[in-house]
Amino acid sequence: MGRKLGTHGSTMGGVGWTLYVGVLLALSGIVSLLGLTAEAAKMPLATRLGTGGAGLVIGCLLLLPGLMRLKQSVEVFERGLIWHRLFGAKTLTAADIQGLKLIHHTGRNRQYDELELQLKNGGSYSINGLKNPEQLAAYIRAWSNPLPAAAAPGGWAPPAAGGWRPPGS
Amino acid sequence: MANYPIWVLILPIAALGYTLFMRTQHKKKTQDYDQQYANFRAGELAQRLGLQLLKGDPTYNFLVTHANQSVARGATDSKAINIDIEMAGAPFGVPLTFRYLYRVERESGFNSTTYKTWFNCRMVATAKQAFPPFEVTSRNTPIGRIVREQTLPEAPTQNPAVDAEFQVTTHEPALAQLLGQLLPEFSAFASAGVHLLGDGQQVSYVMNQSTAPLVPSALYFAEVMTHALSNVAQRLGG
Repeated sequence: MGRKLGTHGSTMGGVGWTLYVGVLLALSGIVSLLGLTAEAAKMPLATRLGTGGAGLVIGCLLLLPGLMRLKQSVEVFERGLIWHRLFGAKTLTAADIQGLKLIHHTGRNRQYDELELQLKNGGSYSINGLKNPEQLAAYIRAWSNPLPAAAAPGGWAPPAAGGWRPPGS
Repeated sequence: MANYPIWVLILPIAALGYTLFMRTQHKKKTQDYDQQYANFRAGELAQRLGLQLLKGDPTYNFLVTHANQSVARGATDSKAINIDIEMAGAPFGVPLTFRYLYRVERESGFNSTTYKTWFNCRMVATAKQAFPPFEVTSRNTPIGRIVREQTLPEAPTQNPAVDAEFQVTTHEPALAQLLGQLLPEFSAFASAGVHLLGDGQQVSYVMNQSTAPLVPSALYFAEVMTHALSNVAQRLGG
């Protein structure tokens, strides 16, 4: 895939509220399950198992998007990229990608960028919350718009000594 | 009705009056700025740079974009913002084109509104003969890093001052060395940032709407831009 151009880490943009609610629910679940407060200790174990267990499970599920972002990064190369995720890495070469959209999502409680990669096989991937997504999008666009090789009248080719020379030199 | 205190009636009227007053003030200030920077209206900028306005609204002000009614109103579902300006000429003997495209479409959904934005602004000088591709970006700008468009390798220019200020990328060492002699003229753009793209036949100064180099900051030195770009194109491609 050529020379490595950089690595794009992830932000918590768009999933911050899930972290907040997830931590609160998971903690309250643990407190309830173990009977750590006087109120919780008075409740029968069966009731605590139900409410505490539900809080813990839902809280952990809500923490999952944050964990996925934490483990997400994209290594970009001259002709491809490796998308590292929580559950493994995905390699995409320039030949796999047909087009892309850079979408900026703005809402009252979330704001993040989405990079939608359209593949030649008809599929697509959405990479959310990357740092510096404009640069990654520009590199991917460059794969489909390579610069033409320079040509002098009659066909430019690097001379044996010194390569290209400015006119008149 | 008579039991309500008088401020229940007065406050909404005062708020409405204040809002209207502020809107009028804002509109007046925009008109004042538009007048103050009238030399950045498309028609006057073209004249100033020795170019001919081929397409677009001659009153569109690149520094005070909100003076344009369409931009100030914003895109609606039925009417997009569409600013498409083109000017061309050869003030220094090299064909020079300035393209500015700003288009925003809006689609309102049930629970979301989608804006589709197209933006392209560049001053382009065309060389007589082809040259190797290259890209130049300022290493630092006041508003962050410049987004590079190509994946070329970095090449030293043999000019330490230029290498410290700019990142030059190309496959051709001889071209990088020549750029080392030409780029000092672009030091005037330190407050805006420089993004040059040589695609093999044309040299473009790329400007952006929200990332460096911003259109107003770069166009503030429009005369320097036209001369420096023409010079680069002439030296690279005859």
